[in-house]
Amino acid sequence: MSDRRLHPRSIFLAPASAQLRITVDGEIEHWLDTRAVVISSSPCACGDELLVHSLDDNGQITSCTAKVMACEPILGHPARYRVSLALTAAPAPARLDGAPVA
Amino acid sequence: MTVTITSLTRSKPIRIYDVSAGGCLLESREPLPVGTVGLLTMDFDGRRRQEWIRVCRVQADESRRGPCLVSVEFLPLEPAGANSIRGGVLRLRAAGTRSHFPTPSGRSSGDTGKSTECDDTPRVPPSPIAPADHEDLNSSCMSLELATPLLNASARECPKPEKE
Repeated sequence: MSDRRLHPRSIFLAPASAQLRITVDGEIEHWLDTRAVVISSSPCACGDELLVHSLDDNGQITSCTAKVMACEPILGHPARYRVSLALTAAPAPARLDGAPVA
Repeated sequence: MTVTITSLTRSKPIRIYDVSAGGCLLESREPLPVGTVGLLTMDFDGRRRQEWIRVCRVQADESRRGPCLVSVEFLPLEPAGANSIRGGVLRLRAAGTRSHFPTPSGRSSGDTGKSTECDDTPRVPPSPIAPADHEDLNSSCMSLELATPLLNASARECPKPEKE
């Protein structure tokens, strides 16, 4: 491999805590009030807290938090998953990083 | 609502073992598929820093249970700013960390066990009194040590080995 060890590395004496935010695309199959069903290429675990970004009718980015209520695979290729969400907050204008618009 | 496309963002707690200007080695409780792109956030060098990453390699045991080691590369989508992890690493380097970072023999990010040991260069013993010309580095490391569990003067670096 040609991409390994291109830079000097520094090793933590004890592992450092961090957060990794992973975003995947989804297709809304159903959305009514505080319940939504999204088709996603990535599985979720029940109880996972998600940040849901979407575009409203005006092209504005909105975001809300949601909790995964169920996740079931959809047969086919590529693998997809039907994720049932309970929205824990109403969608509000937001930036791409999830921060609310002031 | 007429919206049909959305994005789902998950936040995972992880642990980072080593870091360089090009990527880092982290531990995740769940395997991450190679190619996964995400935003990494950590407290580093006294401030909260972020970096877009892409998963390069994953080392998981056969049972797929328990934590796995994940090698990620930083995506240089924008210049290494003050709040980027790359910026923090480069700043520490520029502050003269080389004299503080003895050479390790160990595994690189994403090492699959085939890495060779680095050359044994003399290690600088930790000194309770910092040299005057390294005050800036030491203050950085002290603040970093408070923010995260340890990346201090006794952290180590490894020179680039021969390409495989």
